[in-house]
Amino acid sequence: MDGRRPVTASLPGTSASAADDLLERIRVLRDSPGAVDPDLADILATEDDALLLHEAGRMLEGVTASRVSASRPRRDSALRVAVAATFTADNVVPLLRAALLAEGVDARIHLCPYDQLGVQLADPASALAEFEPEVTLCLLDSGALLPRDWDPTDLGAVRNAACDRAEQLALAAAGFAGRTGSAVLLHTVPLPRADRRSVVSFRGGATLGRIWREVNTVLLDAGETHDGTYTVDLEALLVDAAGPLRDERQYRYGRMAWTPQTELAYAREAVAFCRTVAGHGRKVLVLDLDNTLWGGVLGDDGPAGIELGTTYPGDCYTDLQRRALALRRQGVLLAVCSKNEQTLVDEVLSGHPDMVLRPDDFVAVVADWQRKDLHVAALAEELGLGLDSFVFADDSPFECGMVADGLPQVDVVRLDGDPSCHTLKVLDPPRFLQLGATATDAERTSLYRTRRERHQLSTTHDSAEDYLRALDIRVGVGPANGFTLPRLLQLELRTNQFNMTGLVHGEAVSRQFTRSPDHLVLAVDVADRFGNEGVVGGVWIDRGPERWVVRNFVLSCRVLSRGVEHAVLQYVADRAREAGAAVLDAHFRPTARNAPAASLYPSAGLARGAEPAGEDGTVRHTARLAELPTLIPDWITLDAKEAPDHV
Amino acid sequence: MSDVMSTLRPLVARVAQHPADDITADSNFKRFASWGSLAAMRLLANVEQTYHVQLDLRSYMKLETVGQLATEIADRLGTAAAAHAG
Repeated sequence: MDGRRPVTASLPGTSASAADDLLERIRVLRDSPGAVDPDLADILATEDDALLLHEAGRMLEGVTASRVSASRPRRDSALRVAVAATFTADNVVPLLRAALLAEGVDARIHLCPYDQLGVQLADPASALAEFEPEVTLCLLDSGALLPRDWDPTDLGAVRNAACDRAEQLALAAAGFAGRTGSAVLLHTVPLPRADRRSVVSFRGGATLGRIWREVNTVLLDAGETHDGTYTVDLEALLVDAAGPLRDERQYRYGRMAWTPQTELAYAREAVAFCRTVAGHGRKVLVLDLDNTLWGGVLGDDGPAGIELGTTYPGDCYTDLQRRALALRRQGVLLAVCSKNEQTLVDEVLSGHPDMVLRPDDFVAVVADWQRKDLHVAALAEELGLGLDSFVFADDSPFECGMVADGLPQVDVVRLDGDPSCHTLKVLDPPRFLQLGATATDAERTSLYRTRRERHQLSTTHDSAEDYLRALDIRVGVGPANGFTLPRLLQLELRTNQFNMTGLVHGEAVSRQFTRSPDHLVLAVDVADRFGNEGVVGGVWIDRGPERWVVRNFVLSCRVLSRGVEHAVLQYVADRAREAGAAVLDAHFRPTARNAPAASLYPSAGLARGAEPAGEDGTVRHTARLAELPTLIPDWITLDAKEAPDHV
Repeated sequence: MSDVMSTLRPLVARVAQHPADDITADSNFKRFASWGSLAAMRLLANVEQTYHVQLDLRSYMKLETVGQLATEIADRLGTAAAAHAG
């Protein structure tokens, strides 16, 4: 979803048709009043073609947020949003509408006539006042601040005149906010290129730059001090915008001061403001651990092996921790939801020297093997917060998909790809929105932690069937070959959590097993609709005439809790039966890290053998093959590769 | 020119909110129900983004039909191609 399209990438006939498809989709939705298109909000949120969004926004007039998104809108009434500009801002309205709908906000938008901002704000009987806006967006261009005939040889006078005008605008805005109760949004104003280039000396250019920032400081001051008046730093925001501030032809011809890209950047920021006023800010950030708050997999790499610190890629994870800490200090609640061993996690959180976040920074730390959507729902219950105040960030497409699927109100951030980008994916677009900071923000974590302790409840172990079924999981099992064996040897060495014995066969023995009629080495690969995980597991087997013995079974933790293990055992049992065996044995040997695997064989119907554990702790589980139930879950398709006897 | 016409038609349809099948080279912009100077400027922006050309606003404002716009674009594309060839 992060493949944002560059603005100029549309070639005739290719993405142009995708654009027309989107508009056609919107037209169909608009023309059939009962229809819904729940994926549309996400498409609108990630589309970056301002011209396309403009047309989309025009067509979406009258379409409600509940028809373009799976999550329910949080307000019953439409938010009243007014736009008052010192230039022609008609094009901003459809962009606002599209961006508001993308965020699930229903709104009525009122556009004031061109360049009547001052009058509309000041006159108690103006059309603006009669609209009774809850949010008033004041759009300014340099022409409203800078005298038309400004003299580069008298920059002191330019400064006084421009600051004076900014002051008047700010007072009019604050007056309107105070009188009507509307939240008013001002913004800093970028200085167009022609004005900057009108001063020829470097010293004069520095003076102009300073003066212009004084003018913008007047506007910023208003957003810091006046009740109900806020200022967004548009000049800074546009540093990352896709193109120029304005198109000179559009400005000269129609007094349009912003290019479509500028309009879109503003609209998205203004919508973040609208969401804040409407109380849509998120309050809780639920974070994964492995490859999210640190690099690597704790269960496999161990506390000393995870990536954190000052060099790439560890520094990326450390940076995300710092940003999360900054959020916590501003009142955002942090929680951990990780598939891990709790004791190992606690050890790292309290003891790892490179951790920025410590146990006290979290309102909850959940590390086990249960479904994350259930954990997030339980946490919402315990904290007494709505799911619509939650953000969930995880590197696994599987976990993200599961939470997004089960809890559509939760804002899911998929942290796949280069960890350098993790921080920005969490912070931008803005999710944790507040109008002003409050004194209790810093203490909020401890307040909520107490609330949660009071309201602890056990999670239900509902089945994950619906989601897993939709995943279309395919498990391939077959004898190891020259291509898969190296990966199997690596898995056998590296896998700690789902490793049934922790005993290593190694290359020589494994190769010999692949050629021997008395043994078998299986490679397991897994694919689902998110993609192909490749070879993720291996099984080492003794094939006797009566009895097959699973000597070891390893599976990457990436694919746990999906029933893959049971599908593999199904394959083994089927082959053993075909070969005429009557009994299936399987070895388990507890190690420091393989507790998650302990329940597999009992859950599959293999009972613990009567004899005591072996010298090295190995326990035998056993079942008569005729009595084994069907093991493979019905959401998994098993792809049996070539029969083992034909190796 | 016919190439331009086939890709221009959906752009005009989009901005004018008019069925694409109904738009021919002879279609007059002023006949579109929602046409005006703002729509004209939006079409210009769409054309320039799609074809990677820049039109002269003075001559653009004089264009009356979709076919004339297609010719103007084709001319610009030809000029651009010639410039790159040089």
